[in-house]
Amino acid sequence: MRQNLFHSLRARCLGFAPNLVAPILVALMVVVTLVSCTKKEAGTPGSSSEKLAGPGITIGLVLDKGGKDDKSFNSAAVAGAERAAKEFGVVIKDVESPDDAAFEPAMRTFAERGMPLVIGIGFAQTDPMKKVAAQFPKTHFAVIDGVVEGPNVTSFMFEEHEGSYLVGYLAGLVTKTGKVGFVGGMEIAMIRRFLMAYEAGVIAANPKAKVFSNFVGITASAWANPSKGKELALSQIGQGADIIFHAAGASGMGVFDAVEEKKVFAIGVDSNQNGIKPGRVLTSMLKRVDNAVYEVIRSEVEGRFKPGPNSFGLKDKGVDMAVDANNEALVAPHMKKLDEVREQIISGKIVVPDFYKTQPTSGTK
Amino acid sequence: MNFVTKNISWFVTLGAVLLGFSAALLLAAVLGESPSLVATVLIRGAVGSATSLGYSLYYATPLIFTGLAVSWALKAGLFNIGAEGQMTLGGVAMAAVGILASGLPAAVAWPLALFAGFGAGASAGWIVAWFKVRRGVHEVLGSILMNFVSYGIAGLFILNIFRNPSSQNPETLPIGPGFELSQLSLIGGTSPLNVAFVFALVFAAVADFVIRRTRLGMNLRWSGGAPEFARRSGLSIDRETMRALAISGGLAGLAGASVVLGYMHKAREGFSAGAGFIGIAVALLGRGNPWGVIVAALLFGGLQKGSLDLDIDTDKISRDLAGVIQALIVMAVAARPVIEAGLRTWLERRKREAT
Repeated sequence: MRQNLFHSLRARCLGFAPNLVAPILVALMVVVTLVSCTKKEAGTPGSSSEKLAGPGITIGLVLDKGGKDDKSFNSAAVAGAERAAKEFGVVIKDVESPDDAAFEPAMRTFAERGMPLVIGIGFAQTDPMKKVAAQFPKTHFAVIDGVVEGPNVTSFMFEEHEGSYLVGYLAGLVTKTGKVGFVGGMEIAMIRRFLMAYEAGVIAANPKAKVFSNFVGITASAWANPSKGKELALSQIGQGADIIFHAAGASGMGVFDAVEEKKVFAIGVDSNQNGIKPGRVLTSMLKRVDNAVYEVIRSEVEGRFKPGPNSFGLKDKGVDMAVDANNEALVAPHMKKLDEVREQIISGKIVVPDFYKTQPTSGTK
Repeated sequence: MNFVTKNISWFVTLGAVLLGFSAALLLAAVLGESPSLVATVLIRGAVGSATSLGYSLYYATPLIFTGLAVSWALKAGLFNIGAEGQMTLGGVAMAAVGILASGLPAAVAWPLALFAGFGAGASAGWIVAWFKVRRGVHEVLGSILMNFVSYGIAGLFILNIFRNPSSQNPETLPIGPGFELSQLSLIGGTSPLNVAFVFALVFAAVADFVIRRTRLGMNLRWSGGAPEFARRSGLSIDRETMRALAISGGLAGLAGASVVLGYMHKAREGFSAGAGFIGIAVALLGRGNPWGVIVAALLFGGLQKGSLDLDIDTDKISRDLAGVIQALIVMAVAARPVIEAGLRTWLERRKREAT
């Protein structure tokens, strides 16, 4: 009896665990592997139509975590790629990355497929691109918002501070309460660069003005938290701010909700966001990621890809201020003054404070 | 016939996996994408080249650890869903020793880092156990809440104490070169596959041995399988609970090794990328058996890699299909006992009729 009880308990505790089964499953996986290898010859999807040069080439686009529908940074990249696709007849393959670990395999897959150009959007891709670019010396790579050195990599940086100063100047002219706000996404040097120049612009236009600033967070999730963005905007409006500039990726959607609710104004970022809440968006600080993507694809198609760093500022319209039907009435009275400021920045008469220069080690990475 | 009856649970599990895959492929067909193309892309993406295989194994590595961790607790009848937080803490601890003692040679650095990772995960598991034993907080509640505490502590270390000031990414300073795990380029091509994968296999073998052949393992199984019997035989269930959850947490704490020591060479916020939660599915699919956990982790790792190519090679479906497949497999596995009972009755009846 006691023996039996022990046995049944043993069986219950041990449960299954017969030793033969695991090897069988492993063997099955090996079979699957072999089958898959034979399948490869039968027809490799996606790679048959890829060409190496001229129109009809396939170009890989690796997007940042915000995703292509963020109506801001990534959307701009996709728009530029699509424009190029239409004009030059190239095929664009894009991939969204759910996390940092996915950048590298995505780039590698594109390069392995023999795509002539792989574009990475966002500074988070600099480290993986450094590795992959070194392993595929014949493939061209382009990174936006970061710098990667290499004989086959071109880097695109934007002078965000110039555009931020300009929209800050506009905010300073327009504000009635003398108080304006700034909602940043993740607290990093690049967003500090936006803020520093924006503040300078506001003060230049309206020396008595006050600038409130908040950041959504210190982690990558800060780019995708609209409810926190709205909360911060509402709190700034509560303190009297009547214009809020956001540089917060998808979290900025909350800022637009807040200004609509409280009947004040917002300033958009990266893409032209004037149409998100027509009449309530004063302007958008354009960061022409679309132009950069378009240009690099064009250079590839025309066979004049050039490695090295590139920088876009107000001068070459790499950063700019958006004016369209949605905000024309709002900004028209100030356009003359703003054009003057723009000219002075370009000519160097106004030196816009650059956060990167105050922090020699920051940025670029 | 006897072989089939004896291993019926494994066959039903395998059936559940196939069912999950078929359902997902059917879904792809409904969405207008050819199922054979989807299957080809998945398999080719997972094992089509040395580098792809390497990535699959690389993704499987943390899953083996977290799957083992969850299995270990399951043996004692405990459900540890805090593996994600324990993994995060473990990875941060590894990075911390790697930064503070950056000059150490690999021979000392590797064991030290693994010890730190195990220790950090184990402390998180122990805290959950302490609350369960002393305060009666259920371990499911305790461990899931502990996840948030772990994220907070990890954030403090990554973003404040060890933050790399010259990077825009939320990450720590790099670890010392002695702490970097060697790459397994022979198997994994140019993928980030590293020695941590071998560690994972070794830990699985050791865990299997300990569970089946040692007193520690026997106590563990008895406290979970027959607590009343174990108690009357003089075992302290409380002590077994503490020990089981601490070891479970420690195993989860090691999961970060492959990412932190083997690939990034620093801890970045969010490096765990959900491996702790997928570990629960791995443990369920592997039926709490370390060898089963390895197979399940390889399957899920391959799925993770294979699905990356879905974005590129198909027009209508994205990598999220991998999540759908995982969910369907887990659901099919959850239904296993019902199917198994029915199948067993049927088999026995046939056997009786035959004789």
